[in-house]
Amino acid sequence: MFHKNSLCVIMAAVTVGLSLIAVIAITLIVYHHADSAINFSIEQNNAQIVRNVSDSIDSYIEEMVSVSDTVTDLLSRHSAAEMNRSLIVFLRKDIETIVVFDDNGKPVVTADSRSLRKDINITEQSWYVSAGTTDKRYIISPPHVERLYSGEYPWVITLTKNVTWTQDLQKHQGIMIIDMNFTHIKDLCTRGGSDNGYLYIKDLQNDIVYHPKQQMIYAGIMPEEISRISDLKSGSAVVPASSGKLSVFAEPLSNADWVVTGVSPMDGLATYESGPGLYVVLAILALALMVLFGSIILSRAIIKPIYNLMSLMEHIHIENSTEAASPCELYEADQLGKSFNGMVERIRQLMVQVRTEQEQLRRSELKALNAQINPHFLYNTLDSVVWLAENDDKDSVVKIVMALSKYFRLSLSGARDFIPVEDELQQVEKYLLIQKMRFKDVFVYHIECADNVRKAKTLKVTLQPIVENAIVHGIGTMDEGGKIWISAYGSGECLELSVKDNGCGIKPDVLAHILECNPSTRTGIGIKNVHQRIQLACGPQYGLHVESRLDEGTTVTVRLPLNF
Amino acid sequence: MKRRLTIFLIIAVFVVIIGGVRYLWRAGSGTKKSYNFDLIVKSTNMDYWKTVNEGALAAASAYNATVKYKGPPTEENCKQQISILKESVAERPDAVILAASDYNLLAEPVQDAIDAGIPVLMIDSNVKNTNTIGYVGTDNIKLGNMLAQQLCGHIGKTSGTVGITSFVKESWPAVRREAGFRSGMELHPEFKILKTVYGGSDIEKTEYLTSRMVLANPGLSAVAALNAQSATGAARALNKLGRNDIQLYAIDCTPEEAMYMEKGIIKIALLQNPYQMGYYSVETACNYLRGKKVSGRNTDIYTVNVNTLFDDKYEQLIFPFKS
Repeated sequence: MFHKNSLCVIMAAVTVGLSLIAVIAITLIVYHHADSAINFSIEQNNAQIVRNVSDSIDSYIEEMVSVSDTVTDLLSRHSAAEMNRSLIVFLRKDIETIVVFDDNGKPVVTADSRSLRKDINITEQSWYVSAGTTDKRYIISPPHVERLYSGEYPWVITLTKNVTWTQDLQKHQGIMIIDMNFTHIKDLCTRGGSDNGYLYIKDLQNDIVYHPKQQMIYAGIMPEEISRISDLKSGSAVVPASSGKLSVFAEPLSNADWVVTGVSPMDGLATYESGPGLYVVLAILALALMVLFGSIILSRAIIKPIYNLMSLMEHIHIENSTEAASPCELYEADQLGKSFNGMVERIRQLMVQVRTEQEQLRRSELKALNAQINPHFLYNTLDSVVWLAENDDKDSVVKIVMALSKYFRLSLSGARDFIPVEDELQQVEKYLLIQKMRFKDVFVYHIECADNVRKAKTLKVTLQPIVENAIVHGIGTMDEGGKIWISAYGSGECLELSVKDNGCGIKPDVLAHILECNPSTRTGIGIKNVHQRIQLACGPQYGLHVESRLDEGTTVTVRLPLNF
Repeated sequence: MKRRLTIFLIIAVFVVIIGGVRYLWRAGSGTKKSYNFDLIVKSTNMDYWKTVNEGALAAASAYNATVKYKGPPTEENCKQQISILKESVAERPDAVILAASDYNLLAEPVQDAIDAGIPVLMIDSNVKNTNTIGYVGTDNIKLGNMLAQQLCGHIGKTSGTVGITSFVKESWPAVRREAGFRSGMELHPEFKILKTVYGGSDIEKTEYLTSRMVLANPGLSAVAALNAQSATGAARALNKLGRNDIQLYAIDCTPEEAMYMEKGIIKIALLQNPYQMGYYSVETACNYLRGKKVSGRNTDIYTVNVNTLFDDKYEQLIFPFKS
């Protein structure tokens, strides 16, 4: 049933193949869409985080700027001595200190009562130096460790501003610093980064202000993406990295010359650790198996009636009229079965018709044969009669005419095809008698019949053509001493009629084809006719059997069923 | 019967396919697999170890791993560290990254972990066990040796007496640093080296022992402190005694040490890079689990003095961000 080109296999292969292609195509499309959707949301998320963080940092700086403005304003209205150590109201958790230095680096106004370290030269501090050279309203320093107070080393970013104030009717110039706790900004950057991404801050010269992996950068281990995204000043970009793509979003701060940059890996669906992939593959496999079983069941439903029909066609006996394709639930197979049944029925009818026609043909051939024999035979016999009468052989004339009349009486047995064996033998005897007289006793004959077959039926004109052959071709050429034995006997279920002569025999090449129905050989037409008539009437196991040896003789055995 | 066999075969094929797919899936996703590490340090409260953890976390995000930060609150608690290691092994992380409190006492628990199928990577302080993945951290002999070089190079004297304040006598880094230091000092036999005092990583105890050492040795010209607590304790003692003439050469630099350095008590400090140590440890463990051949890795050592104390490069190592 599972041949490689059987319907079952083809259907299973095609359905499974097609459905797999369809499912995989759909899965890939959906996967791709989901992947890009997730990547899009990663980009959006990254951008959002960067905006939030930069807004927060901006607003921190904004606050510092406004604090510095307030202090500047206060300075313009109050004396520095008045204000010294009274700025504590401005200090908050995120503002470490506020100090105003004069142009010699001497502290003029401090925020609280903590005393500044004396061992540090303020004018050498980087923020002091850079404030003196700028024309900007204020400067934001990179994060650094502040060491204005003994034993305190906070991480701060410093807002530095040039300020002027009047004291003792003199105009003074100096620098105000506000130290803002950097840990808050650092926490913002840490907290703001998404699961795998991170935020870093650079300045407009692409120098890193803060990077969560700053230690590694100092140790020479640069995150590979840093060099690739260094030029991005604002907006988003997708940067290739060894482990896939990275979404990068940069947002410049409005209050400082810094750029907050967010880096987030765009892993798409792979962002979700276990991934839906395994379940997709399992679902596809399960579907493929379901389709496979479904198609096998379906093709079996189709193939079973077809297979039944196929084996019926292979083994059907047309003669056995009970065999037919059984009705089937499947419409197409049912129709096929019905057509087949109709065809078989038609073949059966045709076979019956052919058989009838053949029988009619044989019968008409027999008639033709009889019609041929009789005039010829009658002419020869009458010729012999005339010849005997001329020689005044009265007894012989009487004998031959009696035999002739008996012969014809026996052949007038009406339309019956079958006659008793004794009648057939009697007719042959009359024929032999006439021929013997004609051929002037060149041969003798002997007829014997078993008692139990005397009444058995035989086909009309069975022996006469055989005997005629024996006389004409067997012993006709001999000068004298020809013998013909005719016998009838039962052999098991068969009636056997045997004609034996001691004539010249038949050549083997002729003998081999003597019973074949070949219209091109006109010899022995009578024998063939007998053989065919018997087979047609009684079946293929019956008929003639010819044995012959050159110069020794020929035996023709006719086998017929014993009981008709 | 035949039908039953067919159904059995189909089920068998199905099971095999699912098993195969699962296996392939696991194998295929192996490259993206995330590893879980337990980082067991000597003392979770110390800034040094917090920085190690930060480095480890930075590497974890780069290598798609997770790191659990564990350890006893104080350094001397060796028994507690052993029980934490045992707990960790029971949780079956992909690897344990361990800084051993004790070279000998941790050897057996480490072997137990390895026997349980959990590889152990040593950081900072090794253990008496050669079956670990390796050691990531400072080359302590080199560190001691460098300290000796710095001392001889900056002391500005041709002879004198040098004291050593160390921490835990039997501890592996203490032994190696001292050995390195002493071998470095052998090149300068003009300096007399005193018997090492062991403060057990206790600042007060070190301060007391240093004071006694200073008082007992009037000619003392320099002190080598072999770790942060030893240096801090020694610095406090020298500060209280007002002995600015005795130079302190330290290993590690905390903000307090920075203050003493600014005060001129600490002359030179050698910095380890705990951040790098944490980063390399996770990197090494990941590479090991991915089947690469790994060996130990030494982290950088930096020399700082009062002028370079606030350089960008060292600032974060000395003054960790406080949150």
